Amino acid sequence: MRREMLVPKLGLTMAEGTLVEWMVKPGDTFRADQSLFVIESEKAATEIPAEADGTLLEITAELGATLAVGSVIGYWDDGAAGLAEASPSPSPSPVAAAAVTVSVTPAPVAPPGPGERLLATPLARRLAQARGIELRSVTGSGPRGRIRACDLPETAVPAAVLVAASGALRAPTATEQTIARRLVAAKQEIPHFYMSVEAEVSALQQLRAELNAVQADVRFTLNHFIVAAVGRALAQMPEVNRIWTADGILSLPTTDVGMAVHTERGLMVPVLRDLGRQPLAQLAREAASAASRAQAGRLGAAEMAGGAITVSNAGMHDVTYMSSIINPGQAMILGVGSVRGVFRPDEHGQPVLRREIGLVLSADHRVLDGVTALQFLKRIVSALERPLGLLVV
Amino acid sequence: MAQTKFDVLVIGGGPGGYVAALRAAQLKLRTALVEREHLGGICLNWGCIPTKSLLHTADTLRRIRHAGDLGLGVAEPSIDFLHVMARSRDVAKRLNRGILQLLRKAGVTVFDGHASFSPDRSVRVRSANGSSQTLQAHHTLVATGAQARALPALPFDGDRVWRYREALAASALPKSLLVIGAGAIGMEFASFYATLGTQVTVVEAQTRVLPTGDADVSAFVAKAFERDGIRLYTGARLDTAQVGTDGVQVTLSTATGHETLQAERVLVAVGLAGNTDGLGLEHTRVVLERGLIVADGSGRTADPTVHAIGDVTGAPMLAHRASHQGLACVERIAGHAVSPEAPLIPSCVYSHPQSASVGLTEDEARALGRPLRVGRFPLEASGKAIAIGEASGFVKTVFDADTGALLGAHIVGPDAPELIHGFTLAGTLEATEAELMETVFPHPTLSEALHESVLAAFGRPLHI
Repeated sequence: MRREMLVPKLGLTMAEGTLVEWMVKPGDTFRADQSLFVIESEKAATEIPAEADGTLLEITAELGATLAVGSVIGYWDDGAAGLAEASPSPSPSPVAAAAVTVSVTPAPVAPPGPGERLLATPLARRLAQARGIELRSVTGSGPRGRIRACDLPETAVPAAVLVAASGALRAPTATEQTIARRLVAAKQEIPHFYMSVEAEVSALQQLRAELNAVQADVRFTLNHFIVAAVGRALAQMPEVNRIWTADGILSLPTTDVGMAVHTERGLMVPVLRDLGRQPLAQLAREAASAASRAQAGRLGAAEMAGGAITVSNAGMHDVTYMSSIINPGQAMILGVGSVRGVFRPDEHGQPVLRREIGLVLSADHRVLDGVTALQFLKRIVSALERPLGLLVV
Repeated sequence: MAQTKFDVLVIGGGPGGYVAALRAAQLKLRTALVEREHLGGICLNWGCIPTKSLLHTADTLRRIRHAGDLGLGVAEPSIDFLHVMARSRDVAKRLNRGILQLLRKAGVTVFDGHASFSPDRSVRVRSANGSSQTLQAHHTLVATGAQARALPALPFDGDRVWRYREALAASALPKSLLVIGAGAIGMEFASFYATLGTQVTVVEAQTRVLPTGDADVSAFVAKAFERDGIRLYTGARLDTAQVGTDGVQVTLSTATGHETLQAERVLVAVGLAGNTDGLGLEHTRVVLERGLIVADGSGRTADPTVHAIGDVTGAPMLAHRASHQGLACVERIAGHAVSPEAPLIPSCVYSHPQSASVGLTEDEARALGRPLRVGRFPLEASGKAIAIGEASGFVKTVFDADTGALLGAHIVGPDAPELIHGFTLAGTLEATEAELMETVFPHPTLSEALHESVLAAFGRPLHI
């Protein structure tokens, strides 16, 4: 019979514990009193023994997760034929009474944390899916915090934002809802840090003008060079081309770069592939095509997936520095400002006119340290300041 | 000296008040209850319970009359009308005593008398023998219920012009009865008296009987009543009424003209008015609207220490709603979380045919402007209904087509009030059509028709 494996209550005051180790794998059989997993409470790490002989069927809680007492962390089979997991075990051993038969007293209003069982009515689950709402973010008003349809916001935007705003209210579009949800998640989950530098782009502007003058096949924009510079920097520093995932730090095999495109439906980020080894003209053609398809709303989901970094260019909007939010699933975003004419002192202290763009790299501190991020940023600046290198693959 | 200071003082011992008092005592609150007449209120003494006793007599009589269909030869039974009425009163008395025991066992202090707020907001209880005492409470629950509303043209006289009380304690079966008002109360008495042999006429101002229910149910019930010999006038206005020594004569305006009706007795069942007079509510901050106390789902009023539950707070005036609101009120006073969402409250009519509904009628659901799916399953196609010789009625379900939310359910036919809880439970748990379709209903039962109605709403009924 399939039965739940629960976080035990190991002391009178224990409300939650951290799952730190599994001593058996799904599929393993175990004997009564054999240690199955380790729970760390405020006071101690405790090996939890099996209440009876059985087989571990499934693990449902992540290692490291902090779980309320009584949370389900997995399922096991006690070898007995039975009707349902809900029926109480006929004669729990004393160990079972201590380890498994615990009173579940979750706070009635707080949303369940990761790994905890989420109580929601069938209708609430269906509506949440339709509206793109993450149920774990919703506070349930039903018995034991059960989420009901009335608890769901009409849209994915947090209700507090809607209430606080005075004036005309409208429902966000599906795209806006998705963007909002992803940005909130990214800003809350990714530990951002920011680095700002300037790149001198007189040579780049000169090169771009000449390239556009001598041929009519491809029209190069400043952004094409920046995206190319990022791709080359990734190729030179493969240790930067990685992302944080639930399973670990993932090194990406190709130098893909996302390119933010502002559209009527919100920001779209097509990802350009393998830029480290791509001729500039081909890059420019693909970037132009992706941008126009983004405007038309015809980008496929696969075209917007992947990459460790996105380039978000606000140069056309008269801005000097832009610190951006990392796209979920990536580790960096490069905010690009407008070209500014500025006087800088030369080595003799004399003012020299330079044409600069401000670059702000937002990076995930779980994946990158400051020094590595700065080296990466410097390589981008270097490629932009000596742009002829970008013409050579 | 008896205790006079309480955490919770409940005024009114009906199904709202006594249930609230029991729960308050369970929560270890010092609780008192004041009742001026009968514990159990109208419901137990002059409403739900005694009428069910009468209607059971009528049902049994009807079954005996149809025993021939089942192969049983039975002569037309004689009716001992006084015995029928006495049994109904006995049932009420027995339950009334039970409530006093429940309250005592729970530790609720019960006071007999009429309660009213004093200017200092204490509560004064005056008993029938003229003595009075003053009680103090942190929280007071007003659960004083409602009483029959009179028609200006037909004031109650306890003889020719009845309210429900007289209809429940008649000394002889009237030859003819005019029932004014085709809501649940009017329809149940019409059904009872007609089955026992009274010539019954029902007059309703609105355009259909059971006007707050689903239109399909109204139409079905109206047809069944007329088949049973009950005359119905809907969309009818009472113009004049004359009460004489041998009966009542009224004139009506209907869409088709004027009617003059005569009857030995008339039962006025045109609604209920809240019992708010004489309570000293002017010494509290509660707000009254049209004679009812304004309160929310957990009995919260404009006065933080005065709460109101049940009929005195307005529609739906149903015992189970009062109990639920009373429980929510006490839980809130005890500091427990209460649901902000209004509960689904089923409503039942025990006439013949019986009907029950929960949620929105089809018309109300249409008014939401959302796409709907409506399922109907006739009991003529139910094996169990045919086997018991009652294959008449239907189950109707109304769903939101986009979300699969169950918006309303309506049952008419045998034991409809005993069946509606399936949909109430489904709706409260927010089951969608998917869970209802997955549910296994036992065969053969009338409840299978619930399943089939859901299947029908989604275009996949099996037995029609």
